[in-house]
Amino acid sequence: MKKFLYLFPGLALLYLQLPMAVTGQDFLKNSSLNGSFQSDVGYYLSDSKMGITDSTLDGKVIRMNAFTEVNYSIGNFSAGLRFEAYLPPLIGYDIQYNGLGIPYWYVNYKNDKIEVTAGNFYEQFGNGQMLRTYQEWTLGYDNSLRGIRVKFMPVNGITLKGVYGVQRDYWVAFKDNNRGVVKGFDADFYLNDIISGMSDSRVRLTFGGSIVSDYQKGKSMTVIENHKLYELKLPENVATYGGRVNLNVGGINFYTEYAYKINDPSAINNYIYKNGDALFASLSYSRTGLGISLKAKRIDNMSYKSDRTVTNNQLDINYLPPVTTEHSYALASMYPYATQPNGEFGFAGTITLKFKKNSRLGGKNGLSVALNFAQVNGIGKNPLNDSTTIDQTGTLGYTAPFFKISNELYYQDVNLEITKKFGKKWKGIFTYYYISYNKDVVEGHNQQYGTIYSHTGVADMTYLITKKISLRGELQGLWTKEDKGNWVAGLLELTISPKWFVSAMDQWNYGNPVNSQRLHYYLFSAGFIYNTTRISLSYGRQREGILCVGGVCRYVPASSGLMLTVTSSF
Amino acid sequence: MKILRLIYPIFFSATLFFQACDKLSEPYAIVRPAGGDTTKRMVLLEDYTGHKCVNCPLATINAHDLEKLYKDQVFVVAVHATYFATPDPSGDFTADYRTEAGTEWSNYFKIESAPNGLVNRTFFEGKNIYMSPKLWGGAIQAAVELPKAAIMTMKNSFNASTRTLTASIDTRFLLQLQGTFNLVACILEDSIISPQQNKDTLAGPVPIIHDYVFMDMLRGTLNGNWGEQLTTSVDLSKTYNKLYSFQFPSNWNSSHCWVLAFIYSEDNKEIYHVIKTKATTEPE
Repeated sequence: MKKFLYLFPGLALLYLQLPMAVTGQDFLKNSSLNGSFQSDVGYYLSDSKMGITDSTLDGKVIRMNAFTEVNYSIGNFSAGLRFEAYLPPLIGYDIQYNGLGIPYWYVNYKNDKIEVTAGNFYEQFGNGQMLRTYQEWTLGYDNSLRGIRVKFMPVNGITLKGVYGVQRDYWVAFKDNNRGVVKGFDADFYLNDIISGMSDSRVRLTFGGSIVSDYQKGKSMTVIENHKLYELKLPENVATYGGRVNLNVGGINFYTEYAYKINDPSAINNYIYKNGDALFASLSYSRTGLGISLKAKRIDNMSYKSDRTVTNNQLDINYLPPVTTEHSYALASMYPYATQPNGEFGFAGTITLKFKKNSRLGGKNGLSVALNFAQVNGIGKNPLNDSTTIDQTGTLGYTAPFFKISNELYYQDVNLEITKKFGKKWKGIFTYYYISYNKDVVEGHNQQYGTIYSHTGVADMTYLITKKISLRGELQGLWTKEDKGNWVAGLLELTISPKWFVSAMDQWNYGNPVNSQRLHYYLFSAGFIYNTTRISLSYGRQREGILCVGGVCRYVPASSGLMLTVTSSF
Repeated sequence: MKILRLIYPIFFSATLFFQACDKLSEPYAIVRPAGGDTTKRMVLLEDYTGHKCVNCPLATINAHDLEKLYKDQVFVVAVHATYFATPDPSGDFTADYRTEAGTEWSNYFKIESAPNGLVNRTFFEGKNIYMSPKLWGGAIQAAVELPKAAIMTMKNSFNASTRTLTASIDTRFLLQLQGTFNLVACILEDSIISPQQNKDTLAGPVPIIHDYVFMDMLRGTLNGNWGEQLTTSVDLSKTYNKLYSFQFPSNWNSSHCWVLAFIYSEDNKEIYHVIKTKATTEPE
């Protein structure tokens, strides 16, 4: 019976297509097949200097993360699936991925008015504060919903969406309500399309609203916190709702979204019953040569998962967009920021200036300057009364006046980037970063490390040897009195367009307070690109650290060895 | 107006659909008074741990809190298994606390990381049979409410000159359980001091607690990894007796050792009763 259920979507699709199939060439004309493939294979070596021994590797020296995704569409119908294999997962990925199978499949019908998806789907309401399901391969993150999604466009300018399903939890099948059932409804209204008089207006106005509910079975549970055993009352249905507005006038764009969540005791918030809310706002302005962007956010108790006992990156129903920027240079990315769902107050601003060629500041080849500032603090929390500590299990937790910002700095990033061409052959990017990183808060330690203050400088120079051959070099330095001390890094990368590249890099922790840990993290890479296929091979050391994408982070342990990556699409 | 006529019913329906929104009122929780109820089901918490597991010290505190809160009803055994328990060739972590039984149990229950726990080897909330420390309290609370399944008594004698333990274990069932039941008798040792990795200052110094005190450490079994068959058909009128003799290795401190015995169903491995007594009467 189970096998039949798995086959059902495919059979249904086949049946629906059968009448068209007999029409011969028309069938093929309206159909398309596309897909992608990626395989990351690691061969890990012991490295006594990095503390990696044979017993650490536990015999699992070859590991692989791989997927193949295939999508087929014909007329208004489409269907697809993704096969994944983690045999076993690469070091740093959750061991719960160990295994292989098809965690993602769907069938879809779409016309001008309606779209119906059965199976797995990725969806986002607004900026994600209430609901976002997505996949991020580099993080090992996938919270797709499996169920039904309906999109309805009754008239031009109105989009209504409804979703109903359960989230992916590695390879764990949904049974006996072992995680929540998620339902959501979303509406978007594009006023310029709805109101005929506004269609040509310079003012573009959109607003929308969402409501999401999670049902998790269980009206009570027992937890142990601070050496006490609590028997908790639980809400089986937890709802989040909110609205958003986007206003665009000429080069100015303003977006804001507010979300509110009712009592949702969970392992993340220490099982408190306070309502949660999140406000995000951004304002941007751009014209030729100038771009300004401002962002602000306030989050209070907004972790929203379809299993209240989970504490790691899984089963998130919502996504809390960051105001901070993630950096790509090796040393600049050493201290990235992870969103703190229990409470944070963040601000960010960016000014981008482009000076034209032959202007006083632009010189002969023009000049770009970008100044970026971001800061995140905690929110101000007050105890409920004299006898209740902040975040005490089984209580409302705390009070938090909306505009009260805690003095505790979580993260600050000030950086200046200058991009300049020097003649036809040389191009340079020079960046300075000052980053304050509260390691205890961001990484979840208990008053262990304090705040790390770092200065980082990067010079990135590219020299065009010929039209097809370029040589790029990076020189980086990170200076801090805290954590692992000072670092320098260098990179040389030769690119022979469009097929080949080879690079060598070294990050040297010359300032580590522990002499034996003043290590070189060298990495040699080479790659070949043929049409849509890319093959790369690298050998070297991976330093321990945190990898973040969009404020969602995973711990990357130190490793050493070979990595082969093959990606392709068709 | 045509649009509004369309929108209102949609929003009205959606609002009704999502009415299921449980707003709770105080009190949200009650703090359970300490103390177990020995007239109900006895519970074994298997704490799968390892000296290279940075999250394990906090989990172990959690386990011992539960043991104290359910005093005399819940017992903890620390099973050193998975790669977190593997010894290094040199350095701080050369000790090998793994046991044949612990390794076999972790393999059987597919426990590949630590900390993880088993509560009477039963499922809780439907996922894996093993669970993270956050779930131990709930699983134990569910288990301790069940009716008492058996009465076990244990008499130990220890010959100090030969370092030989003799354990006599009586079991009498109180419930007419179906299937085959086995008895496992294990040795646990307390107060073993050696380094333990740690990431939380609540549990001690980081990143290594050099003088970590290991408690309830599984050292081995007296009757094999899966014990010995007690009965294939429970007879409530019968007392089942098993007698074991065991010579302690020289590196075990007998005065810090305990005998822990439990009975379980051979069909699904669920544990129904557990007892723990000192291995010797020697002063510590």
